[in-house]
Amino acid sequence: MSKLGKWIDERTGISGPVRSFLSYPVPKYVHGNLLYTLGGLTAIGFLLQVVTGILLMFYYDPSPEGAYNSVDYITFEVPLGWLVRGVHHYGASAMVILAALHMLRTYFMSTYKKPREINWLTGVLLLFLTLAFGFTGYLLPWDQKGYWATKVGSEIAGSVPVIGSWLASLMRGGEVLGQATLTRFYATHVVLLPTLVAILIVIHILQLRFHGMAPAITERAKRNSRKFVPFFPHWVVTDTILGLGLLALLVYLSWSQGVPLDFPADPSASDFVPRPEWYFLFYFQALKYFPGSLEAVATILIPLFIFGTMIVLPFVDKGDERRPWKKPVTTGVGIFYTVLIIVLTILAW
Amino acid sequence: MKRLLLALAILGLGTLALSQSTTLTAVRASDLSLDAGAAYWTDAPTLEVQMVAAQEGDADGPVVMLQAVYDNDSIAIRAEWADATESVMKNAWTWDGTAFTKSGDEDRIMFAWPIGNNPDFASKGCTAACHNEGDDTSTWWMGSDSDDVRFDAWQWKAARTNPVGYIDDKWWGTLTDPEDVESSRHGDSREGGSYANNRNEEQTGPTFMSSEGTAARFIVDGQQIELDTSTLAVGDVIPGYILAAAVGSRGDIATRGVWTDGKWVVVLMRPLDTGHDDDTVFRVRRRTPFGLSVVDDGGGLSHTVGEEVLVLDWK
Repeated sequence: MSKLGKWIDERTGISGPVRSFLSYPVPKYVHGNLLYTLGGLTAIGFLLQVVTGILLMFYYDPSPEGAYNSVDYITFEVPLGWLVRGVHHYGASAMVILAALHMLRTYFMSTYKKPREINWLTGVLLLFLTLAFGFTGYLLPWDQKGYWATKVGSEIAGSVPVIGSWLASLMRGGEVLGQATLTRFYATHVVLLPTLVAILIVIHILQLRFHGMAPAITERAKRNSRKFVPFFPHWVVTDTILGLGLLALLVYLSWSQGVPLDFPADPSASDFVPRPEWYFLFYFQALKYFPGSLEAVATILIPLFIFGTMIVLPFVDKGDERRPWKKPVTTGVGIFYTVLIIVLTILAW
Repeated sequence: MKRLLLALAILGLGTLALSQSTTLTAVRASDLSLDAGAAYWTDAPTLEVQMVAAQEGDADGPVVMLQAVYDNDSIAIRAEWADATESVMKNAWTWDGTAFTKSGDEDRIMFAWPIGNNPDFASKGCTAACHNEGDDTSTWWMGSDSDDVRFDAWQWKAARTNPVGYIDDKWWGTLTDPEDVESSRHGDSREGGSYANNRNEEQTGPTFMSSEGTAARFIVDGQQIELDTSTLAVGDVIPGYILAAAVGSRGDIATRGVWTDGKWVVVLMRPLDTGHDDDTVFRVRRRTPFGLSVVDDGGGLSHTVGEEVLVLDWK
């Protein structure tokens, strides 16, 4: 240990916890299996969002008069501003994909079962918070797409029975989209959601460390589960390489595709056809099948049903069996919803 | 992991804006010039814009075919449209043996762009600048209702600017005089040049004629000589303007337009950022809305316009 390290350790005693964290034994069957890197990659994606988000905040002006021009300035005038915004933009999509894939792996391998219920619940919340990040961030450029998608989103919230008007007013901060809406979305996006996500990630990781990896389900994995490798350097190096790969992909997308910015929001342009970000397209499409008085089914019942099902899942599916091919009902339901979401997304594209 | 990468790649491609019929996609090229036959034009997508009458009762206009290319410094736009007659003798003077009569007009193509970001223009196009309320057309005007909102207006004029290779670069703002509908239009800053009327004080005839002879269709500054009616034959036509390329922001868009076989082919070229605050700034990849208008041998309210908001995009 260096002189400085020793000095710090004498005063904080930090070397013990750090050493314990880094030497944590990881089952060998997990190390090297890319399916088990999805959680770590999602966390890396979140870190990238935090870093790029902070850089964007240095230039962003959260007012209807200044928001668009500041985003335009970041994109086209600030040196490498296009790159920072591009990584943030594509990183948001990457986080949704990674979190969803991580969730699917957890679901199909039934790792939500006792004693890992809390880990599953924090995961469900993290997935929904990731989507909330997308929804609140969409408005911030104050462009046509964000403005009208948020208008429609708040109208959908307004159609919820009984509390609808209160919900819509809470989102908008008034009757119409304006300064109050932007301020609320901005505060939610840069303070409330990151804080909640950071807390939940810590709980998620502590839970993971407390219970360890879920037991292997295949014979080969079971054989390997008796062998362990230390978290550092094995796991850290793997995640770092994959994280750099993710960053490289986001940089490439930003460079090759550019980062989209629609025209500035025009509240009088009533002929604008609003479209949500791609990861909400399935919901956008589903709403079309529930017109008029059935609207509440799509706006409140279906989301509540999906969220509720995910919440109660570990308390309902309590058997010992975790092999997906031996659990036709849960596997079938998972495949059905996955395919349904993909099909609805394609239909709405 | 391969699937993940594929999904992300598809996602990236999917976020590309879908090319629509109102989008003029500029493609990267090198050695930009005013040559309408340059090889790079074959690689540039063509946007066809149907021009319709701006005023009820007028005839609709031609289909304008637009293309655009750019490099690190400049953008060039090529416009082609059918026009059965070449009109380049605006306010020309015709000698009948004893006196002059003034007649004639010119063909024009005009582009309008917002200076800075403008939500209204982006969703409504030129309509955002068009104040045509009421039946009294003499009160109609083009411009904005706020000092913070300005529009860049490029006017290619077949008689007055094209022969000397520039586009009349103007901007529209608010009405500086509420009684004068022309007071919202301003020429860009100019250090010299531009065109001047060729007419005598009594406005009964020209002051100058061309040293190139009576067949000359244009008088470029320096070619003018004192009018000598004794050299004229009945039916001779004297151009109505003395032309000089504008120097400064007013003349920072170069052009070459040629009329042959019943169509105009015009190429214009400008720096992406002129450095002048009365010009729109182009940034590669920043989508920019614009409006288009064509005039056939005329001017004023009698013009044809593209109905949709057009968008300049970059590839």
